[in-house]
Amino acid sequence: MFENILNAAINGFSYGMLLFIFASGLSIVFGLMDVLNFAHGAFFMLGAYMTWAIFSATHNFVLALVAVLALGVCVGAATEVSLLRPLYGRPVYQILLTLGLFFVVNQLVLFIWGPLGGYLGPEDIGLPQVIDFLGANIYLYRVILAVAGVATALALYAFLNMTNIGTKVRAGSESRELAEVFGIDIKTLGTAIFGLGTGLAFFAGGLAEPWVGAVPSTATDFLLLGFIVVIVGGMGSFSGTFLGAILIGIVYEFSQYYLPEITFVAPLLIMVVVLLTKPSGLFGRGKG
Amino acid sequence: MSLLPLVYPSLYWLTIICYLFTMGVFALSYDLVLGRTGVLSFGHAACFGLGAYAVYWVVQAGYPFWLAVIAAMLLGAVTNVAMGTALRRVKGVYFAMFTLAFAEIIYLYLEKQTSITGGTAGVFSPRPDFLQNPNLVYVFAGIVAVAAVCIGCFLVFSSTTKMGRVKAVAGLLILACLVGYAFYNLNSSLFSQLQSPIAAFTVNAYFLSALLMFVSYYLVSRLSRSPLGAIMTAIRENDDRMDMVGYDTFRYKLVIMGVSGLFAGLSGAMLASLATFILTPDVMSANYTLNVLLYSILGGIGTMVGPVIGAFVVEFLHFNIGNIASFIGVPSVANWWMLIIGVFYVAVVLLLPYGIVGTAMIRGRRTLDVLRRAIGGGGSHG
Amino acid sequence: MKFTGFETKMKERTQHEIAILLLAILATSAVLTLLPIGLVNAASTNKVIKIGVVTDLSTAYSYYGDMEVNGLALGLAYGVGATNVATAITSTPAMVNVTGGGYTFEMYIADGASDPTTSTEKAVQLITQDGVQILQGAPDSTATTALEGVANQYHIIFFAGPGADYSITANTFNVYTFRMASNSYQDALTGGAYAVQHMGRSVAFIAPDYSWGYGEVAAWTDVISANGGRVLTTQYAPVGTTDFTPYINNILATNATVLIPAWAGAGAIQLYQQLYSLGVYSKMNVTSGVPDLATFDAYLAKYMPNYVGMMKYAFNLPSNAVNTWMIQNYITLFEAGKLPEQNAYTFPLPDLFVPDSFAVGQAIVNALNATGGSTTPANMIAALEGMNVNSPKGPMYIRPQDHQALQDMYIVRTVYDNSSMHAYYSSASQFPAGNAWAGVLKTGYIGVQLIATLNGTQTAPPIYPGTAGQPRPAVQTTTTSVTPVVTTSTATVISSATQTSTATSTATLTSVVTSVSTVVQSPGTPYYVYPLVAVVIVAVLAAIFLATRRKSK
Repeated sequence: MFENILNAAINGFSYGMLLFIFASGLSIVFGLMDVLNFAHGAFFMLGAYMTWAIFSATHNFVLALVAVLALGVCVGAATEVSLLRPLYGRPVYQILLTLGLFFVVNQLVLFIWGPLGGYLGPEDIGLPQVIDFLGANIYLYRVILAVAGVATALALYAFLNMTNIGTKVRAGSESRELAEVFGIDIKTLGTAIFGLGTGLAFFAGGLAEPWVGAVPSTATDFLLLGFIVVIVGGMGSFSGTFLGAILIGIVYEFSQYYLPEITFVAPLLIMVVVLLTKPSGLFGRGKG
Repeated sequence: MSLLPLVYPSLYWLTIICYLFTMGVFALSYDLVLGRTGVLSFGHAACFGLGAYAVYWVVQAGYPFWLAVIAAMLLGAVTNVAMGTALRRVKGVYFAMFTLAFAEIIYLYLEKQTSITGGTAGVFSPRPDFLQNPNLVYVFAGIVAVAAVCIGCFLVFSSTTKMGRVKAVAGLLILACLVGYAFYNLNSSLFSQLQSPIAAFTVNAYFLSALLMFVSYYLVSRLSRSPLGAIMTAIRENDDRMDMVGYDTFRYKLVIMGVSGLFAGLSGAMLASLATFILTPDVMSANYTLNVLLYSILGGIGTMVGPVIGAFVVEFLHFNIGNIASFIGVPSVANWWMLIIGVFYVAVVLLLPYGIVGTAMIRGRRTLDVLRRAIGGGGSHG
Repeated sequence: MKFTGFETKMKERTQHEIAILLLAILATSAVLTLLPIGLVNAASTNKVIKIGVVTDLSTAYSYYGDMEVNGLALGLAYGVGATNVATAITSTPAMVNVTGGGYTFEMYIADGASDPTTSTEKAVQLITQDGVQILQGAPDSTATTALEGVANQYHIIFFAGPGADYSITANTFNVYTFRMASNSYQDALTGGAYAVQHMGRSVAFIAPDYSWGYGEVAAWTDVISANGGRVLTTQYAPVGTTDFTPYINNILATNATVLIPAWAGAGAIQLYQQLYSLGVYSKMNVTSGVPDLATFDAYLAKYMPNYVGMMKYAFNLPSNAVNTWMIQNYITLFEAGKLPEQNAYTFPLPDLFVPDSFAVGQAIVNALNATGGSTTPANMIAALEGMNVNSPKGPMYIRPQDHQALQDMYIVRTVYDNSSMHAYYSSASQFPAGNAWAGVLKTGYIGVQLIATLNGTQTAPPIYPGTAGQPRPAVQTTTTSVTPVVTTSTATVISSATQTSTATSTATLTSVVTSVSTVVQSPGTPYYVYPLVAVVIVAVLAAIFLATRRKSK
């Protein structure tokens, strides 16, 4: 009994970290460019598949992750320049475009890799250990993932608050017009940030591969969860996304253990409640 | 559009066109919300799906069919209004996310209730028995024939030049020949074929759905020409200004959500009773919302006829992608419908932002003039 | 959020003109509708038999779909006594033809993608557009249930399978539905009884949270209770789950002795992988249906060590002449790359669902022989009820009450096998180029070893009340045929009150229209003529309409 609570809590935190890495990309892009990137979930799935493919070829998981991160940045930047730039100033159409991209990427993945998908178990990447912690059995890999999530959070925090580019991003998120007045090149910045966001999505997908696998359903599932995290946490708020991710992760895992029927409904309900009561997000301070 | 398949008359095409008209009404209802009032809603399929299931539930409970349709429309309206109440708190993208969550919750919840929705397997849809009556075909055919004649007369009497009138009369004659030939055949062989209940049902369902489609279109167009329609357009253009001028935009938005929900519920009822054999909870899922969004942007947001044409084009393509792909020689393309939808989205957004009808309206003037001059005589410029 | 109001750039009137144009087109087309409609071929005594197969060629169940198509083609060939399957069976992506014994079977293959709505659409298309007389499908039970409904509406014989939900021949049963494939209840009677008798009495389930899952659990629970076991917990995981650790941990917490996972399709791999890595096999006995050998060997074998469970079929389990024939001829086609559905991952020997469709083919031919070639549903039903088929799995008996075929079922153990395949293949060069299994002749593979066979009576599922009582249509002694399309009968006086002013039509115009109509409807016309005719008519109407528009201000 107690073991399962522990299981749910630790796995929940870990899953939350995974969600955070994924959602942070969504949040940063929305903050700067007002674009809700519907293709983010598809990029996550693509990242998982590519990690699987690269790992199958090289048998080096870390290499696969790094490669996938780089690939993600390139894909994101390329997408932004070719497809989103022409729609500059029309955010709704940009959203619709990302929606179309979602379908295209989804189908392409199905076409290339087939409907069964692939799964690298933790044992395949050399981390088969299952920790027995007070009766709960936790995969060592998931603990490492949680650590990776925290590390990413710190890195992003440092990036946003301690670098020049980060400051520019924050400025642009606050007010684009003012930032442009000060000479910040929002267009190039936008490309870079979209690239970063997509890279984070790919990276999250790669990290998630030994957990949820490379299967087509992850695209929609994670997209929805990503939106929920970002809205519950507060769009544009970094700490909000972090805390929101932990909250959603824990809720998700607990419902799987105790009430599986509401596994997908519970996060949605939380989002609905947040939107109705505090639209700027539970931990956010931005505009509603 | 509807002419193409009917030149090769078959039950199969009639079934498809029934579905096209259903989606046309659905697209119309969405245009009211998105195109006319500027409210982006990702939960429209909830009204649609609940309307479809409402027919099933009411018919199961033993009530007559017409009551089921009314119930479907009301349920659609109530759902949409419920979603609309959030407009007081959230706007824009946030409202869109809210509607997405709202519809997904309804979908996920109802999918679990196997006893009332049939779960993933669904239920057999409540097709009304009275449509299996072959005599009904004559009634419908008569209505259509009369309508065709009226249009012909309208064309004749509204033309201003002699040449124009001659052409109109020629057209009328061709139409008359077709009608005559039709009745010639009607009496001889069709009636016996219509004895098969499924054939009679299909033909009647086709006519009924066409009728409902045009009635809905007429009502919606009257609505948009009314003062309410003008207010809607104004809200779309700048709703803060409308607030300041003194209109309670929130209440008006609720009204339009309600009306839109009525039509969405109607299209759901059409789906359940005319266009499909099986009703699964999938009708409430985001799939249909995304489809209707595509119809709207492909056809042209804000034009009434645009989303309807968008619906026809997309769904027609969907049904015939197999045939077309085989014809071109790449049969496997038929499996990639999701890819085609995605490409559609991207292409329309980038290349055709005003949609087919929108672009035609803006750019089409010149083409119309050229065509008119080519035919010679008549028309506006002379 | 703004969409620029471009409709203010155009007048409302133009919208309405477009709408009226649409209405005019609709009117014309409605009129054309009333031209003779080609209906379903209700029955025919000709020797071309059209079978519609609505299966899955694109989702995670596509391998099951492949087996379904291959089995049916082979079964039909066997039934007509074909001696050379390579010539008897010809296939293209959308169609498979089997010729022999005076028949040509045209199998129309459609992809229902395991979705009820899509499957229904495809089935309706096959019936109304292609005129199929028999329907078969689908791997997924929800799609199969949908197809049942279509068959009932269009009055057409339907062979259900591989979809195994018991309800298909129970609560949703109709008289047109027959099932040669085994259902969940038969699986449960085989595996559930064995589990309780040999493995333990406290049972836990894990199953997907939808109708197939509920059906499986219900059937197995019945059998387990009847044998003295009890179910401690059932963990329903949402469809699409890939992380089963919560459910596995819940099950471990109950200390049950037996775990029965009921999972098919995507997610099964992750499930067994997690069972393995969490050490469940050392704490509980795990049993279920053994999946098809191809999926098992490719993904699951290392996570299901020394597995004991029930199995519907494997090539080395039965021993009878029909099974031998099926294997030999499967191999003939496989080596030539000519199986109707074959790709690089196709297993070199008939796998799990092939004999079910094979039996369907046999049943169809037997029934046609009994009815004299007629596919009238009433006659077919009468012929099929109570039929005995010597299938590759041994004798099958089609129960007249609920049209379910009773058949042998097997209990097996998974073992390393380096010999069974060598009875059929001597060298890897016999495998078509690129086939993924070419290496197993050297390395061996994980196969199955027979522990026990249960016969049809032992595994007979209960007869659902109401199935036997449904009225069967009366057998017809003379076949009726409905002549479709073109009619040349003389006109009778039309007394409809809605007669329009057609009397003015000239003879030439009528004959032009008639000849156009005849061209349009005659069967040999290539179908792109129709769009051309339509375009012409639309262009004429549009031109007239535009030319006569009032001046716009």
